[in-house]
Amino acid sequence: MSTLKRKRGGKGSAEKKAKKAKFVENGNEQESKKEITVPAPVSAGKWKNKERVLIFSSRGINFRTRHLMQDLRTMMPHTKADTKMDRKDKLFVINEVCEIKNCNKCIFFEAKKKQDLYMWISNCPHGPSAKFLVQNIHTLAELKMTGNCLKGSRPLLSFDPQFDKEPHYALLKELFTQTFSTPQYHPKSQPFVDHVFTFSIADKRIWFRNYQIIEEDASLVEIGPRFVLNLIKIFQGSFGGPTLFENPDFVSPNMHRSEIRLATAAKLREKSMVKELQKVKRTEAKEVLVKDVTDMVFATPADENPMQIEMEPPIELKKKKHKLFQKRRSQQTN
Amino acid sequence: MIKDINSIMEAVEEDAQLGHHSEEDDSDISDIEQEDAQLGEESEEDDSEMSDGALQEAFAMGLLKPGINVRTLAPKKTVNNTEGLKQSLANISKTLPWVERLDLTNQPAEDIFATPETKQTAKTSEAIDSNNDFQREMFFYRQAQATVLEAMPRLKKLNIFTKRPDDYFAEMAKSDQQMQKIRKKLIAKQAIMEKSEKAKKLREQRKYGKKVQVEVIQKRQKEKKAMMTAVKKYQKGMTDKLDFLDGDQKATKGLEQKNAKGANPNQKKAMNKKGPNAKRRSKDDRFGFGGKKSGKKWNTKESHNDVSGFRAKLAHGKGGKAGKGGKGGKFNNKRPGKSVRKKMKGRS
Repeated sequence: MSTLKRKRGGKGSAEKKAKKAKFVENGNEQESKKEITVPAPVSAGKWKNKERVLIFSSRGINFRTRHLMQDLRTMMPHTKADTKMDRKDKLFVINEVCEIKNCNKCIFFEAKKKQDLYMWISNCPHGPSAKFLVQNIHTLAELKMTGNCLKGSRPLLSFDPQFDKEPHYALLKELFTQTFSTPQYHPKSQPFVDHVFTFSIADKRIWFRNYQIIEEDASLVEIGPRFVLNLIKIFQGSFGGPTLFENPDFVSPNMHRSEIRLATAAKLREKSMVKELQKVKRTEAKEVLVKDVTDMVFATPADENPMQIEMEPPIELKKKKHKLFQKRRSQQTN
Repeated sequence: MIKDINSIMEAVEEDAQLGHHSEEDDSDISDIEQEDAQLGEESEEDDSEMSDGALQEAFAMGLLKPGINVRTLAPKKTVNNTEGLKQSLANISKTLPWVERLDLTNQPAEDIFATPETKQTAKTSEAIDSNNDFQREMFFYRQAQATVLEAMPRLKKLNIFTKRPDDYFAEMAKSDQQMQKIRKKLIAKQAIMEKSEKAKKLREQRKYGKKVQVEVIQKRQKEKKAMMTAVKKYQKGMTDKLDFLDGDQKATKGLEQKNAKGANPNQKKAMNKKGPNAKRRSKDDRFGFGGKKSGKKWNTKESHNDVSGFRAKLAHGKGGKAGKGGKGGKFNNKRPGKSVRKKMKGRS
């Protein structure tokens, strides 16, 4: 009887027998298969691709980041969680944490100044790592994202063709693929493929979206979460090592904020300078022009202009607000 | 080529043959210097220490150009170790079958709803304007669509299902509560939209209804009027036919007949030209439009200045008897005295 309950795997649903998996929706999730102990053949295949991702964060994150992390863990069943890391510790400590947890990939969120969120993706023991600035976070809980998917179902990954053009993008593509795709026959995974992750490049940033596949004709609804990644650097080692790539278009959020402040300050300074100059001009002794007698030689009286009577009131032009600085992607607010 | 303005100024003063023109005020120079200092630009060379001789040599070599030379920031050199990147990529790639990775790279699918006038469908991601939310999101959507369309047959071949059967219950990423909330919100939105639509329609209907009502009332009044005039005409003996009693039938039947008969309408027109009766007209003058008499006895500027009713002879009493006498004895208004009247009475 107990075996009747537990079917969760490719075959169980394919053969439409009475032995179908029925789970109560309160989340009576039971692990049906561990590769070592096989009480009954539950899953159609063996879990070979041992990919485990560790998702955790530093201290000082806000609620949105916390929810984003939770959402990523929901979406990806091959992830593990860990406690918050103290910022005093150096980053290479993370490698050790990963080793302890037996994970070979890591996603680490770092919050600075309670405003900026940075994300590290790394291949843990020796591999490359990348640091991003995360912006425009929307979590699963937003009511505008109406889609839903099975918890732990395997995703399709969709990449922009631009990812194949540059070597750093190609490396990132490989890293994303290995991190975000759920291994086949993972014990916590569901056999269906019902959602798709999209990675696109726009405005020199990487945009992440998650859609649910409703129909076979590719009608989609967004599930969430969604965020934008701005690449900062790619390192050869995990959380350290020589820099392989530095993004020339990246402006650190601090720089960005200071640029805005400087711009407004410069504007004000210019205004005050102009005012001063005008004052000086007014108080200056004005030059008295000597009248030249020969000036009037060629003067001819001008024709009288016909008197113009305006029948319509003058048009008032709308004053345009000139923004000195086009504000970039909205920063994560506290 | 990064030069310092100050040193150039000195060079100009020294040797005008260099042909540098600088028309800037002192304030502008200080401005630029200030800005330089604040933005933290660092020039590659230490220009303030460049001597005039070095400058002249540079000019001789052709490095200096005429005009205002401004300090610019050298382009930042960023690391781009393509070899290293490729090496790392090779290191981490695992040879996994596609079924493990399930990744696809593709252009967005065709947008079936876009017309050339409304939106330009971006073919590549470089073409989209990331500030145009709708275009951007549609691009991502279509990219996902293209992936799904490509992946479906491949998954089918590998016996992986995308559609879960209806009786397959399992834990979902969003809890039921969440989905309930979402559904409620959607329904609320829809309800609001419907309400506003209804309100709009009602308003339109009311407007239209009012118009129709007014028209109907006017029509009825016209008909009544026509009937009354027809009756009166008959009373006065202008027409001896009692056609108007069948009025409605005729109206519905004889639209063509009406148009065919030329005489009748002309006759009617003739009648109507004279308009209302003389009696009616006089009554109108006296009492029509609230009675014009009511405004006629005001002592306004115009009436005060109006001396048309002044007869100088009458006023000064000069022309009175002559005027009266001129009219004739019998027709004058003056009444004879009592004795004369008695006499007259006695006679007759």
